[in-house]
Amino acid sequence: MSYFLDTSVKSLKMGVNIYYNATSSLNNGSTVSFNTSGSGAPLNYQPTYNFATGGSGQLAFNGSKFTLPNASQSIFMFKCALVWYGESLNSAGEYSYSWYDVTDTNNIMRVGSIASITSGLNYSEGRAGLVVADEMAVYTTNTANQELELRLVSSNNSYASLTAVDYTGTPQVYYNRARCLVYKLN
Amino acid sequence: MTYIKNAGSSPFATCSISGSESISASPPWKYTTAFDTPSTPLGVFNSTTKAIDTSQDCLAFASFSPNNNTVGGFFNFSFNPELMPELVAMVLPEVGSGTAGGLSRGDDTCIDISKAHKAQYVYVSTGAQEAPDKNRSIMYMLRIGV
Repeated sequence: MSYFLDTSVKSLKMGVNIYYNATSSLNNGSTVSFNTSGSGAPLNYQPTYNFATGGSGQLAFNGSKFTLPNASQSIFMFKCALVWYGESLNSAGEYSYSWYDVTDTNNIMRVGSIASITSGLNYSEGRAGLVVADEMAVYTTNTANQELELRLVSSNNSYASLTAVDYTGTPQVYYNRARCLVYKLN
Repeated sequence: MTYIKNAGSSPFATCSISGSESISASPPWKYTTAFDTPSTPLGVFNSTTKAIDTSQDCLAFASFSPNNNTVGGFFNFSFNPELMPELVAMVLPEVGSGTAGGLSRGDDTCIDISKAHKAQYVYVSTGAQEAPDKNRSIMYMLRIGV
């Protein structure tokens, strides 16, 4: 038996799309939309690595709902980080969000990890609870025809002092924006 | 049969800060201590450009932590300050002030896709400490293709 060592550098055959401009009404169960260019197109960032959407055998996105293709050999990972945006400088609170399988409207199921985001008011360091370190909602799937939405789960104070899940004005250099990264692993 | 592990084929690398390589300020960039120590041969530090170069495109994530917990402030740390910076940058409020709270995102990482990875300060508020916490700052890279 001979064994030949493969010395080539390995590579992940994958594409990355970034969706942004997140909006949502502030209620438990509300769906989060990404009004990217008004057409569901991802950010034109390093477009070589954007994967195509909307066609036959491709992931579809209508602004709020992702639909997996019916015969995909690809695995998709959905990772979203929303922001806490409160117009009051010292706004405080917490809310959580997650991916939901909405394929069967009579049996909607939460899937993946729950993300929890607090305001930037940092008087609470050292406390624990309602916070995870990597505050992203993550879900990985290759289920054919599965339909996914990002939805708000809950808030510790009924979304009081929260203005929006993203900032839509002219950002300062120290502002964040919500982003949804979708990886397609071939 | 002999099996020789070949670390040189790894599509992954983590990169840390030794503290011996700094990037001079050049607007809009601020002074930064560079990520200069990749864990595998996927990347090689370029002492001239202060970037970690890769022969093929890599998806990179960087998280930076300041080495200070006594003053308040904000940091913006990015691979690219001009291309949708608030999306691809990380912004980190330095802890300890007990104020602020208007805007935050849990995912405090900056992202990039390129062959030369140099994450750097774009904004540092007055009084904030620029020196890195070398144990908490990390950049990792995934070699990708389409």
